[in-house]
Amino acid sequence: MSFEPKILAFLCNWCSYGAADMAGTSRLQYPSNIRIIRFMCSGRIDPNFVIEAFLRGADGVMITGCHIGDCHYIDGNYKTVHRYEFLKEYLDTLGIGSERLTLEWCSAAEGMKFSQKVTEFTERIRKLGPSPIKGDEQ
Amino acid sequence: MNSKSFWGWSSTEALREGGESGGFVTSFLESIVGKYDNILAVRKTGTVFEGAVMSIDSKEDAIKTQGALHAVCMELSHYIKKGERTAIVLKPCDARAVIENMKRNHVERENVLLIGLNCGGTLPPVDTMRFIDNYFELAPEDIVKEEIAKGKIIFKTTSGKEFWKTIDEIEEEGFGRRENCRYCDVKIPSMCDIACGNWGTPAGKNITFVEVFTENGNNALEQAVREGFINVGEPSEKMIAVRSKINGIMKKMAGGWNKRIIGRLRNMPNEERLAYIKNVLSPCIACYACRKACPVCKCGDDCKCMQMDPDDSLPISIFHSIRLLHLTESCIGCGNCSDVCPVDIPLAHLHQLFARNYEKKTGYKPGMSIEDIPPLSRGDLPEGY
Ligand code: SF4
Ligand code: SF4
Ligand code: SF4
Ligand code: FES
Repeated sequence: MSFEPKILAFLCNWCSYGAADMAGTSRLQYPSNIRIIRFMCSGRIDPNFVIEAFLRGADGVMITGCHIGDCHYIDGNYKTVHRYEFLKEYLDTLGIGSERLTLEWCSAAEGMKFSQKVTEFTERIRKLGPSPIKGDEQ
Repeated sequence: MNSKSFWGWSSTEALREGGESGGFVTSFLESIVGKYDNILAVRKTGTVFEGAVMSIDSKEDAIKTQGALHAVCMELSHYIKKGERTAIVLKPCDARAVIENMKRNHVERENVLLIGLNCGGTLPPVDTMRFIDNYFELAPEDIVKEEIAKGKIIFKTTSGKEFWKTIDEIEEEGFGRRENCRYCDVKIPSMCDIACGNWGTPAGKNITFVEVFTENGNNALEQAVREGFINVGEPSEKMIAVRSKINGIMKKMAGGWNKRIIGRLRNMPNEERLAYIKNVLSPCIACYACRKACPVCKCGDDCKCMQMDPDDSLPISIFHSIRLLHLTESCIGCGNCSDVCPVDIPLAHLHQLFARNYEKKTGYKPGMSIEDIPPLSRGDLPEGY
């Protein structure tokens, strides 16, 4: 059976969820490998959510938020950036590899960008293969 | 302030003879009795392999804390209470833990006087007793003094005899300092108010080299001198150089162990390292002792990691992955977690692997100064975004 990556995407409510919506209403195609979880702000994403996603079988995790300067809570996404940099190092140290995590900014008008980024990331994870931390039953 | 260096020794002849390196710390403690709500130090109990934390209320108490204990690995930062003016004698890792607790508002900097001791490492008591039995056929109660000096670990017996081996020899045989002490790279506790040690003192002179880092430390020292507890002198240029040379040698040794222990993990291919971490954590029996013994984890029993079962069925438990996450930014490498684990999981080197990699990336080293804000708590926008 060919490998179908499982990707968990954390989207902020105000811009990137809007972008996903836009992609949908514009009937843009993107791979159905992603499962979306909506947060009020990308700054709400605890690094542990990302690690737990991997522990529970995700092959890749995508974090999206409003562009810098556009965060609904002013600087929530500054925190996202620090955590993203932290998580990349963590994933490399743990041995999962930072390339399985990505951060993208998408405004509510960027449905096209959203669908492109999802497609690119899915292809990246497909090439990388299943996450090395997956348990046998996952 | 810029740091200042002194030679110091006790004004009391008996303490100068009996204390470690001229009884400086003992007499310094005598001088501050009554000036703090709580004065904490470790004292011997029974053998040199056992110590107890002591709250010093009188000059007699201070005298009971005489002498160094290398084969006792106690962590004192747990005993500092918020709102209490506390003076405490501690080694670099304990002091770094206190600094981390200050950053998290568990302790107030202005309430605490940190009396640091230089540290070349501590010995695990049980292994060390086994070692002296195996190699010298001595019983723990035969030892009246142990010492780490000039690259050797020295044991003195009741009959006045000395037994020693070089640190290198002992450690190649699997004994010696705790693993975390071998690669620990903070040997002079510059985050304290004052740092004391015997590096940079003339042999046989019973003197302590004291480096003063803060106004608070300076005031306390000046007062101790004024009130006649302590004598101070100016160290020679030559001995200042000797001290930094010894510090350099210790750090170089630590660098070598860092390569061997942390570097080995760092250089493994990703999959191998992941498998190592998974396997090494798998015997965990979910006792939470590592979490409770950790001096930088101070969220209390309501912390989210305490709600997680270390024995869930995930590849790495959520409990351990949260701890690995949180300590990446704050592990100061004290080794307590490894010391207390009942199934001997080498937790400290895992946490240090994460912390040291993060330090490499960000330049942030926990426990060095309350001015250093952990990257995850900074509100700025990092470069490149
Ligand atoms: S970890 Fe460092 S400071 Fe702590 S006891 Fe070991 S050598 Fe000393
Ligand atoms: S994780 Fe272990 S080595 Fe690090 S600070 Fe906590 S107890 Fe000490
Ligand atoms: S001390 Fe050891 S056995 Fe206990 S929870 Fe920690 S890792 Fe598990
Ligand atoms: S609301 Fe979108 S990143 Fe904060």
